[in-house]
Amino acid sequence: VTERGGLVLATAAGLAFVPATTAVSVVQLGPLADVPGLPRPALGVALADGRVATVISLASADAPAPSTAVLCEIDGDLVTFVADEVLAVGSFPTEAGVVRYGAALVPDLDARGIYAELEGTLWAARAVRLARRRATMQGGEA
Amino acid sequence: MDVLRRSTELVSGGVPLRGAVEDAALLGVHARAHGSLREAVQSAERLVSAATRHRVSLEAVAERQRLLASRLSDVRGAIQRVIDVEARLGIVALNAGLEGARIEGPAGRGLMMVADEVRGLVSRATTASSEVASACEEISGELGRIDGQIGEARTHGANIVEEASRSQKAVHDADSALDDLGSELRRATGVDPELAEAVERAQSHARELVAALTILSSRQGALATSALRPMMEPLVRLLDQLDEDEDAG
Repeated sequence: VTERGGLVLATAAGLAFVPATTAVSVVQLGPLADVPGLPRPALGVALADGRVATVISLASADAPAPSTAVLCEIDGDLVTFVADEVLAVGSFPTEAGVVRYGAALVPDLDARGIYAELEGTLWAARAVRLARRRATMQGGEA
Repeated sequence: MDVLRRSTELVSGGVPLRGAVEDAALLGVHARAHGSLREAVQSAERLVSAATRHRVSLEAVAERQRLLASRLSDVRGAIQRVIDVEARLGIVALNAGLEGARIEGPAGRGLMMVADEVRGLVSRATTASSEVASACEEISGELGRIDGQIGEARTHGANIVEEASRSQKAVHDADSALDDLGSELRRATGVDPELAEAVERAQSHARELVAALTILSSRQGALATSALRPMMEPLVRLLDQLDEDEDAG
């Protein structure tokens, strides 16, 4: 039986597995700072172990304010994922590449995909605003 | 009063002393009223004193309640710190488990086992801390309610002191007025208060004597009456005369 190490999270969408290779650590979040233009499910940025990280929520809408999060490093950027609860940590048996937690088969959290989608939305909005500014500036010069 | 009046008439050779007896009775009533009022004055003073002691006791209770609330605030702060430490410890345990998951072999497994055990202990400690925090909140609520009730008791106590002081003043005024009334009575009647008191006492003794003789007469019959006759002659005559008067009336 092959095993994979990592964390099992309870999220609004169900259980999610964060591999130990993706998760850097579990951190206590500092106060959240809002970032204008940052789309949901991102909540803003916060200090995590003394470094600024983007905070992405996977928690239910009625969950209390996040205090702990799973810190991941994605392409050099620090991203923290907030869940309803960290259910378990350790090595879990795998079945067809998916870990088993109790009776449940838990899919991997697509941290990179979520972050990439977020970045894409953010930068697309910024590109539109930038284009508008340039057009306004060029109109002013003319 | 009639017995005494008639007896005094007999003793004094038929000179009516009715006015003096009634004056003495009036002064006697005044003396009794004065005595009762003195008791009322002392009672009002005791009431004011008790109300004051009650207020002091209430303030002591309020002080203890404030002290308790302050200590409870310290306890709540300490519990919050414990909860924070538990949260940190939980995170440390998660990271230890994560580190264990990264390490191949028995060392990693050992680390994960310890992390699991610590997480379990943290979970139990967090539950206990939450229960203590909840109990503290309940106690805090109760202390708040006690504070409110102490406030009400303080208001009632102040009202009692105020009313008792008012009563004390009224009773003092009444006592003073009764003193004045006594002076006016003595001046109007011209009766010496000591004489009035003596007449009152004589009246009372005469009543008791007549009652005792009546009982003796009915129980012991003629023998006892004849034996006592030399000593009791004047009173027997008085009783006979009273009976005749009553029959005639």
